[in-house]
Amino acid sequence: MQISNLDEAGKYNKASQKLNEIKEEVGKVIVGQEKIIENILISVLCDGNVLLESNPGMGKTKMVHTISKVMGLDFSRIQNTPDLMPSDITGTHIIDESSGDTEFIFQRGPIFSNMVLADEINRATPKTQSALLEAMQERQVTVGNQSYELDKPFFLMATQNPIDQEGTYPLPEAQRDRFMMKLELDYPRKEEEQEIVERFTSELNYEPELDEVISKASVVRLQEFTRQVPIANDIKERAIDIVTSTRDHDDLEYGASPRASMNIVLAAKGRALIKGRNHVSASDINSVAKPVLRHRIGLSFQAEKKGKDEDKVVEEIVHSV
Amino acid sequence: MRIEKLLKQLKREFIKVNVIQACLDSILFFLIANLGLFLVSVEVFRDLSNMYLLAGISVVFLILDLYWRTQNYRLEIYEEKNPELREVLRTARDNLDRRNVASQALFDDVMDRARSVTSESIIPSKTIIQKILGVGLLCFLTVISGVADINLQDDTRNIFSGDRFGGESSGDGNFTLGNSSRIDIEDSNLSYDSSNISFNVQGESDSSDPEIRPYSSRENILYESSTEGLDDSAELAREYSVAIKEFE
Repeated sequence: MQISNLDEAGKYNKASQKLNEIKEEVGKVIVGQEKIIENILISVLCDGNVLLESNPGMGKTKMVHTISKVMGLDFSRIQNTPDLMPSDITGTHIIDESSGDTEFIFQRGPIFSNMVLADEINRATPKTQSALLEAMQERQVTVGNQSYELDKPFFLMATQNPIDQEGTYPLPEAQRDRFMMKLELDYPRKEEEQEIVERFTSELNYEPELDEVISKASVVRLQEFTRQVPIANDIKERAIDIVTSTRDHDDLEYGASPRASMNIVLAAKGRALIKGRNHVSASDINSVAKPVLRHRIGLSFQAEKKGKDEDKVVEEIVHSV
Repeated sequence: MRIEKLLKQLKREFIKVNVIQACLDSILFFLIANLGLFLVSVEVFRDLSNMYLLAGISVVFLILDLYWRTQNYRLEIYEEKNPELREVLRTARDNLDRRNVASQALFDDVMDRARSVTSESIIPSKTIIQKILGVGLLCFLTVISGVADINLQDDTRNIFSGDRFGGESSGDGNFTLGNSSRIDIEDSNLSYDSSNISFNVQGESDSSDPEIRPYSSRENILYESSTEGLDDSAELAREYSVAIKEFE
C-alpha cells in the first residue's frame, strides 16, 4: 500500500521535473522571458491556444520553434497576409497522377502540425482567420464537404503587432475568446539583451544541441494529468468570482465569458504542476488571471480616458475579490 | 481512506480542545454567578438552593457552548495555525472522492505534513491559562467572602416569592404575613382550627422611618384569637405573648 502510494507521488514529481527540464532546455536558446515560456507551457498543458503580442524581432518564432523541438512536436509557421486564402492554411485537393490513375487527393496544409505559429494573424482577412477558428476550437478542418482531424496535440500560437495597425483586420471578440491566453512580450532587460547579442553574433548558425525532453504521447498524457490536479472549492470559487466581477465592473464595457472561468482554473492547474505543487493555490489563480482575462474584457471609454488598461483593471479585480 | 481518518482525527482533536474551553467557560459562569448572588444576598427560588440552580444552568451553558463551538469547526483553523498545511488540507477535503495520481500525491503529501501537526497548535494556551487563573481567583474570592461573610445587602431577598418579608401588603397599611392555612404545626400539641386564627400586629415607631411609614397609624401591638374554640395550650400561648409584650 505504502509502496504504491509512493509511486503516485513519484509520478507526480516526475511530471513536474520534466516540465522544468523543458524550461531549462528552452533557456539554452532563449534568454530571459521565463514568464512567457512558463505561460506557453501552461497553454500546452491545458490544450489551449495563445495570442502573442509583441513588437517585431523579439524572438517569437525562435521561442515557439525551440519549445516544439524540446517537446518533440512538429512545428509549422504561417505568415498571414491579406491575400492568404483559407486553403493555404487548411490544404486543398489536388490531382494525383503518380499512381497512373488520375485522382483527387488531399494535400495537407501547414495547419496539420502539432505546433503552429500563425504570424501576424490580424493581417489575414476575416475569412482566413475564421479558417483558423475551426482548427483551434474543433481540432479539425473542413475542406469541401470533408472534415479532417488534426494531429494531437495541437497548439496554435498567433502573433500580432501592437504598433502597426494599418491594413489589419482586428480579431473579433468571439475569436479572441478562443485563445486561452494573451501574452505580451516585453523588451528584455539590458543584461539579457547583452546575452542575446553575445549568443547570436558569435556563431553563424547558433543551434545548440537540444534534448527532446518528452514525446508527443507524453504531452497528451501530461494534458490529461493537468486536469487531475486537485483544487479546493473555495479557490475554484475565487476564479469564478474574479471572472464574474468583470461583468459588472464600472471600467469595463463588457466582461469575460464562462470560458474564461474554465481557462483560469485550468491554467492554474497547469501552473501548479509546473511549480511542482500537488494542489492549486490561490497564487496560481492570481498569476494566470491577467493573461487569461486581458483579451476577453473591453475597457469603457471613461476607463481609457483615465489612462487605465486591461491589466490594471484585472489587477484591481484580483485584489478586491 | 487514510486522509479521511486524518480529517476525522483533526476534528476530534478540535472537539477535545473545545471541551476544555467550554468546561472552563461554564465553571467561570458558575463561580461568577454564585459569588454575585452571594454578595447581593439574593435567593432566586425559596425552595431551591442557588447552588443547584446555578449547577443546572452551568450544565446547560456547557452544552450550548460546546454545540456552538463544534458548529464553528473549520479546517482552515489548522491551516492558519500550521502554515505548512495552508490550502492543502482544504484541497484534500474537497477532493476526497478523487482517485487519481495527482490526488494520491496530494494525500501522501498531506499525511506527511500532518505528522508534525498536533492539537497543541490549535490550543489557545494564553486564553486557557487566563481562564484557569480566573477560576482560581474566583474560588479564592468565594472562600474569602464565605469566611468573612461579606454581604453587600444585609437581608436576603427572594426574587420569585413576592415581598421581601414574604407577605403581602394590602395598600391600606395592613400587612398579611401569609395564609394561616399554611402554618405547619404537625409536631405541635396544639389543637386548632386554622380558619379561626388571625394575627393583628400593632406597634409604635418613628414615623420618619420609611419602612414603618405605611403602618404609622397603629399604636399598639395586639395579639388576639378570633374564636372561643381555642384550647388551653393556645390560650396559654396567648397569655405568654401578652406577658412578653408587657415585659417589653
